[in-house]
Amino acid sequence: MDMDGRGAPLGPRPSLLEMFPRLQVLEEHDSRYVRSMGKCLRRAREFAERAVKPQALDLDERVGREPRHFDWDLVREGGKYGLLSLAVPEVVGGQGFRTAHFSVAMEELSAACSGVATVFGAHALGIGPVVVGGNLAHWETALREVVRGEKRGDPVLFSLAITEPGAGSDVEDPDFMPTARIATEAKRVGGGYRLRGTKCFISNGSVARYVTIALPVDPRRPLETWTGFLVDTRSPGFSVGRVESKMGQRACPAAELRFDDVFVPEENRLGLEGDAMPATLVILAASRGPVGAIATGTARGAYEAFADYASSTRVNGHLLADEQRIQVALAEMAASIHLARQAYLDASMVCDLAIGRPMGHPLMKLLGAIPAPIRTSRFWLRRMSSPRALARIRALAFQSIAEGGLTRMLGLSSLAKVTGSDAAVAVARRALELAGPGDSEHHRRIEKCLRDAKLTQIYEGTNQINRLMMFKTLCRPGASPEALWGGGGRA
Amino acid sequence: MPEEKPPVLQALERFTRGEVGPRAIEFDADPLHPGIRDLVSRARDLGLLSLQVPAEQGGCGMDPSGYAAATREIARGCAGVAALLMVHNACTTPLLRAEVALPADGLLAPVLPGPVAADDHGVLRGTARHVPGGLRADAFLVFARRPDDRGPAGCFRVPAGDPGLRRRPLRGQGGLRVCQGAEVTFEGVRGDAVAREDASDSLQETLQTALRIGAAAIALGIADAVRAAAARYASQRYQAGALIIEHQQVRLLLARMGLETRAAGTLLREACEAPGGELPLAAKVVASEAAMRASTDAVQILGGYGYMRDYGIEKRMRDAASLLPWPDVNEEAMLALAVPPRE
Repeated sequence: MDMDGRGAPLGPRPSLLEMFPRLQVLEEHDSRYVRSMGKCLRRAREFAERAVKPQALDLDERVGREPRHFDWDLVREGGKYGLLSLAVPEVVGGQGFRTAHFSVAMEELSAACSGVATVFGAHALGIGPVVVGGNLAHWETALREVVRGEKRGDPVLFSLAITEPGAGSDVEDPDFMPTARIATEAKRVGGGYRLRGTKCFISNGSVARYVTIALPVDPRRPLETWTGFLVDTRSPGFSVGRVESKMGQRACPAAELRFDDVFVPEENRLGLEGDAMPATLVILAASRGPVGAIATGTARGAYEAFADYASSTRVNGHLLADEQRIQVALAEMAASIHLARQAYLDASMVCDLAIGRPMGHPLMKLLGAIPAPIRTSRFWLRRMSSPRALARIRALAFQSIAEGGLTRMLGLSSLAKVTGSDAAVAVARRALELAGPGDSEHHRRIEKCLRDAKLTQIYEGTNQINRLMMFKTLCRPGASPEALWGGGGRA
Repeated sequence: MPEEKPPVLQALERFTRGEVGPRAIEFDADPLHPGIRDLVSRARDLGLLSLQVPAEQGGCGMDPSGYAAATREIARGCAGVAALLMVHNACTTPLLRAEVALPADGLLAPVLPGPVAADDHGVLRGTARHVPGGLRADAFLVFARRPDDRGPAGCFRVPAGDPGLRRRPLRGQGGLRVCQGAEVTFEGVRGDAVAREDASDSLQETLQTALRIGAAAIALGIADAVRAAAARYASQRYQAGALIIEHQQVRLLLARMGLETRAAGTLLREACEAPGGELPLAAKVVASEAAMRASTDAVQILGGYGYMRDYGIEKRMRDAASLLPWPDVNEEAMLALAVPPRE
């Protein structure tokens, strides 16, 4: 086999409207939404092509040898493209919590390296509970730190910790939570809580400045007392345990986090006690779409490497891509990537419709108009984190999200996650077979994509638990969000 | 009544459980690990480098079925180790057939027809891009064409230490990493002729059959191992209030692993009994597909644990993936299998 180096047979990358034909319709109605999405795509694509793709293989190899290696330069570079503040609300200087925009960026990064995409994805996931938890004081402090850090070139990363050594997918689902084997606890003490226990496989866990975490205040009633906290990882008692050697997505560390009586002041509780399951559901509904996008991007990475290889490699006197079976394989890969892409966009846009409501609520707009000195004053922040204010904000947010169709959000995002991840594994697996043995750059990219792809079937709830979620939300008539979160929230 | 396992298989089981399995993760992470050399020496002492060599020549005297069973057993411990030994054992079969003296020790690796040409004096030139086990081989079995491309020049044996031979380890080999491949360049190396011209054709077939049977056996060894591990884990791990083996989704995955492994095993047995036809190729396709599905599902059942290196399951999936394009690309094999053979 020989490469005849015909240049890039793929041609230019597809434009936003080519990737999502339906956006042409939307553009008529809301051209700002589509335009800003296009901007997001271009920025992510530029970062991916310039900074990520050229070193993706080397980074993968290096972390394979040294699991604790983390490429801060790449994160800093991503910050220059605004990728750290994508999920931060606009009122505190971020780019707004727009899921569709975020998803599109995730696909672009993943086409170059899904490990790098997951660093930014897990960061946004960690920010999620702070956005949804609704304590504006945290927005002004921790989230603003993210924005400042991004500008200064001193990244502040977030991470979300849910999985425990004995409980994984089941703590992401209210139906299964009561029987989950949870071994963490937040004990109420004067002025706050003491967190105890171990979380594992936490993406970004070892590099995060802030960890958002969910655990029960009363382990005998986990669902009713499942509570979110914002933990500064510089707190005494917090430590990082083992950092895993992963099969793929190695650029993003998965770490064990130990909480040895970590004190968290009451004001760093996210939402109310017992609030975390509905909040987790909202987060998952918002994040499984982007996971579908990460998977779609991974599939695309394998597809592009294989298409390039097949179009430039001669076998027995002809190009590999001249063979009918290869053409059909490429066509089928392109089809499953396209379908997976539409699935994640649906999930993400439905999310934006629902979450966009509280974000676009008049109160929120009003908040943005308050001058910063007042907004960040101790007095104001304390008022905004008073129990009354919290309950009010929470009720507002959840009611709005519920009306926006949390059930559908959950269903479509699980669908996107399952569809995308299955496509990613299938495309990468097929590309790996059809390329045959070898160690060209194309081969190595495809091999990496298969390893990377496998994680997308596992994280953010295994595909098994996501299929059950799809049944509950899409196939069972009359599913309501209240039924979904099992009455855990008290409002 | 169950047949008693022959002593060599019993020894093999002890070897796999005691020496191969426990070090599989370590060796996979570092294909240059010095322990691999020691393991190969141990394998030689146990007769695992002469599985098909007749007993009167000091070998194990196994038929293809025995060779497949032994290879499958080793693959349960580590498919990479199994591949390294399998490639060598497959290379012994054409030598035996040609009734040429076997090398006293050392590992053999094959160079299949295409990239290397030999002139009338048996001087070899050319670069083989992908030689499985090429990095550790002590000698190569080279199937060369004539410089003018008119047919085969013959089959040659070349010691790896020849000054005209260069090798470079392949980068980024995903699975079967103990059987590290190499790119091997022959720059005017004089080969030791095993067979000349057309006589080498049948030797090449013998080699390919042995590689296919061996690859199928390795795939089944992977499938056996992941199924056992997944079932064990599923019987211990709680999820959603029940052991995950009680969940129908998981049971179906486990059942499919079992069914497909069994079906592929039956096909492989048939292939071993009639190695002359297309069955070895068919068995390799079916077994490697089964192993890929089984190992992918096993990682899924173990969830996060399945994905992490230290638990050893993700390695099985990488190993299985390496068997999809090797020794034959499955889809290309399918093209060859499209037309039923003449009765």
